[in-house]
Amino acid sequence: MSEKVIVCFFVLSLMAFNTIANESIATLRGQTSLSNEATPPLMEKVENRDIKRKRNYPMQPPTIPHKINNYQVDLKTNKCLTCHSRKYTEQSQAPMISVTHYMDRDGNFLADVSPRRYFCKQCHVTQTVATPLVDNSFMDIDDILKAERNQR
Amino acid sequence: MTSTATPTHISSVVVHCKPELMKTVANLANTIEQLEVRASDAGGKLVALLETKNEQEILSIISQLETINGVLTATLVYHEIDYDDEHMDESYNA
Amino acid sequence: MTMNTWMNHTMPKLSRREFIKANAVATAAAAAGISIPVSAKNLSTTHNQNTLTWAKAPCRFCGTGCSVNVATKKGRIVATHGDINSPVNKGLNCVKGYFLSKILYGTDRLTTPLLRKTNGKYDKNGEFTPVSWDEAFDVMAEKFKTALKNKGPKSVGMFGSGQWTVWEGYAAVKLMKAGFLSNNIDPNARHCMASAVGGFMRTFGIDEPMGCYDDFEHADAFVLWGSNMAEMHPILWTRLTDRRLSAPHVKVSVLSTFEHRSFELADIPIIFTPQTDMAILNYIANYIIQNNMVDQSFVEKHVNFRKGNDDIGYGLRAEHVLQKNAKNAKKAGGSQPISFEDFAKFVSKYDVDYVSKLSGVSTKSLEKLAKIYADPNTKVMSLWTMGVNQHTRGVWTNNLLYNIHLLTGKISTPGNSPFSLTGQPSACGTAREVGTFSHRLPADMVVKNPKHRKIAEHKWKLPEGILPDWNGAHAVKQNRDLKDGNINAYWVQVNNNVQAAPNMNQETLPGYRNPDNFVVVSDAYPTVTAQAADLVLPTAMWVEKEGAYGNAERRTQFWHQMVEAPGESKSDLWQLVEFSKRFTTDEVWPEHVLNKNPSYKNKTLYDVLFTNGQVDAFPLSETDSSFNNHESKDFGFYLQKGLFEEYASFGRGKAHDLADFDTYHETRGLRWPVVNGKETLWRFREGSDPYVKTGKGFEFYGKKDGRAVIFALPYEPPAESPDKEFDLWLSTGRVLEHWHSGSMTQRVPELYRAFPDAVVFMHPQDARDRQLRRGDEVRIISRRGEIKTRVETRGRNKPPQGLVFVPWFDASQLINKVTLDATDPISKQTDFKKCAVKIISARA
Repeated sequence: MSEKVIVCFFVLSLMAFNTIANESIATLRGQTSLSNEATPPLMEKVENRDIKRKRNYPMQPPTIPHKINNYQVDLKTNKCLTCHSRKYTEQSQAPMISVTHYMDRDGNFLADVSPRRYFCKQCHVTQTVATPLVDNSFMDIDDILKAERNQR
Repeated sequence: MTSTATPTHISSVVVHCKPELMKTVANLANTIEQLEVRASDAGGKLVALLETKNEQEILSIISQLETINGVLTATLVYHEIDYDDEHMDESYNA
Repeated sequence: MTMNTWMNHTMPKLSRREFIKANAVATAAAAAGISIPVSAKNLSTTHNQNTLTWAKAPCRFCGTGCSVNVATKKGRIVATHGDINSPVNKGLNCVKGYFLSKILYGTDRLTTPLLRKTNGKYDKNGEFTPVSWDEAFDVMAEKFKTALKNKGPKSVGMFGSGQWTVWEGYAAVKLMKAGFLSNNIDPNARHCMASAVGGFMRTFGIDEPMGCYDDFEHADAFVLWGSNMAEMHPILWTRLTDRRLSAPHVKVSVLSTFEHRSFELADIPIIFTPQTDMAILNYIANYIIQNNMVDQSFVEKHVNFRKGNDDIGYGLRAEHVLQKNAKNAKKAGGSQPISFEDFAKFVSKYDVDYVSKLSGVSTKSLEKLAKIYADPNTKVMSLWTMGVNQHTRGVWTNNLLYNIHLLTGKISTPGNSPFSLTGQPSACGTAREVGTFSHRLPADMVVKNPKHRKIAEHKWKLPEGILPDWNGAHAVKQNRDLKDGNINAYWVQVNNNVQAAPNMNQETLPGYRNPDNFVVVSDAYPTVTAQAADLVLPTAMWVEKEGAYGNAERRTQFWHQMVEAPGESKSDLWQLVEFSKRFTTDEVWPEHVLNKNPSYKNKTLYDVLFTNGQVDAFPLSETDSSFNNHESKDFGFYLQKGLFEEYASFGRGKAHDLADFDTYHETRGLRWPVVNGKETLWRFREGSDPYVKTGKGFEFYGKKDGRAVIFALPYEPPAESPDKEFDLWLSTGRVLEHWHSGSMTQRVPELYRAFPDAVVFMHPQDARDRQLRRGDEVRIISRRGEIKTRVETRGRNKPPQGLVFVPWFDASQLINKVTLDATDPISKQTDFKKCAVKIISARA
């Protein structure tokens, strides 16, 4: 799905001037009335194509482009680091976790991965192939610059 | 900065040095090709911006900084790999 | 000049590479504490890098209260990053925090008021039709006035939020209690923290944790009680992980009714039968006493003992058999003084064999856990949230947790910390501290105390005796009152209570759709609560308004308005204050009060509450000109500052001291009490807390004699346990990727795709026993209702046999149709973690 620009004011003007004809306004619930139950969607598969996705801005932690079933991350072991740490990226060709992962809370540089970054899934999530129920009109810096140039 | 085929690593380093030696530290730091000093304060802290080809260069530059007389610490703060060079020439100067 | 104009005129054009470099420099400068050449205040056009506006804000989500920096360009948010300088998170966010820039941009943002109409007139069964603010408020004011006139202040109600900003909550309290003279205002924090508050008030006489997040870096042991910090307080979990993995002697114990992600770090994992956490806590107290590990001198100097009333019922409707049979349902909070020996005898029946049998936990694990608390050389941090608070004996469980810390003197010093974690970003700062509860006034005061009412009347410049003295309807009671037709005009702000409240089919929905009732919902997005309403008001969110939140460690954080709200949406604050203009004192105050105080006649509520010389004391010139402030611009004075300073006067000098308004815009938050510019890290401890008198060592000054209370309280069973027909426990809760009801996070594509639909987490054997496989569609059925969902047997949550777990973020799977509206009788907080269900295939 393209996340390219849906220029904000265009959508807003549509919404402001139309009488809403739908029975339900609760977009995330769709047309199922509050007192009924819909059939839940099938459980979606996790996208597993190992293709990097565009980040919305530089500091965004990249989403995980592959399945992580049974990848153990606990006191005993961290499966993610067996491909993504500095030691193993040459073998795995997986992207190395950025150098920021080697810094402690006070910004000191450590020899090994900082414990505060140990549980990868607090920041990095997989993506199913589900189609979002609602579009998002977020514009990244490129979109804004492009829109600015087009205005000229 | 010329357009290259390989991704660029953008990072920033906070250099803490003795206040009285800050000028010389900044000058020496600026002689490193991939580095540019971008901010400083009277207390002896400098912000250096790095553009390198890979991580090893970052680590090597940090080691170099630490050998400069007057430098107390050099700490990497920010690191981002810019994979996309195609927008380089779209910078638009008024 | 608005920020938009400023940005257009002064910012040089920017390439993508330059943008990244700017981020790099800004981040490093922030870390070093160097102000970069362009901040929001200083404009310089010479340097290429000076092109971004970064401004600080607390995260919109949980009670951890991480700080972020927000970058805007051309009136839109383009990025956020974790604030490196913030002591809370030091540059980190969790996955939700990393997507803050997208939460404002769901394309279905509400942009005009919507009123149900048929043929151009209001009709409760009509279609939602866009109307102007004027028309919306006209209809709304008429409904509120009719209700007040016909049935008085008990017929109006407001359900607010721990996500209100501090001044929104304060304005709402004034409007309801001092304007409409009604105490029927309660926040959704009733669903999450009321038991914690009850625990604090009973044990300490004053609310909120005595420790702070610094305890994470000092503790030798962490014990999680009914808390899944790995998913729900992720940044605090990173601090705990950091400590555990850096210091090998540190041990982590995790207790829950099912295995979840926090167990990944557990040295002592414990799964217990629901509700038996109370028995385990009494066992630990017993162990400490039997093994002579009581800190005798601490207990002698600083503790009183009391026995709480038991058999207190379950907060159900009065006709319910459980209520009829409860001996002390009407005196749930009462207690009697006892001696230490009485207490020792009371807990002696909780020996390891009895408790092991009751809870299903091995004696070995129980003893390991008890030793951690008993060992005088182990600094223990206990952490708990919804498992303990959303509990029909939640206040008791909070008390019992404090018991074991008090018996051993492990409190108010670095690392020794019973820490009640808060769920919402400002349940502390707004709901609790401002007092947006049906029984409260600001600064821990209560409506039933005439001295407290007098103080409030004086500060608010109101006629003497005017404030209502009755406890208003709390969250669950509000829904019952709506259903029974006792509350007829109702305003919901910043929450999704149709999705959040228990027993939706029997209580919530009939209440909202009762033809006698007019329900108004203010929200940024069209939620199921908006769907159930009669009037929907489009609301500004987060950095579309100037705000303040207070997090779990008492840290108050401010932010400026950074972007404009879309369409005609306005902040909750603007709505509350603007609405007050529609009412005069003659219309809503009793005649005898006005006759006695004729100077108040013929004034609008706006005059009396918001232009009383205090709230309007600060002119527009004091606002920061680099930011917009749509409310203040509209009303002509610095509204937020006036509200804040009037509110802060309640707590200053009363151990709730807040710093002055302008300071908070400069700092990354300060932990109250802030006295002489200094924040307080550990309360009740001499040297650290300025309110503790010299020579006292510890002083629990919330109580008159300075002593905290240890309570003797027994194990009592839950309201509804599994039986032959409904043979499974249902527990509900959350997942990392979604905040609360998902109204914000489900509209961020990356978060939606990470976890699109709710599921029922189930033990594989339980599934097999019911001929179910992973992915099958099933019905979850209780005595009250049912939903359809799909089975998950291989997920992040691994329940034991006999228990299932369903998260409540999914608007298509309203699990609260199934839950029970039983509450803790003292705190009135719903137990969302325990009811009985059966699960059958949807094909059956």
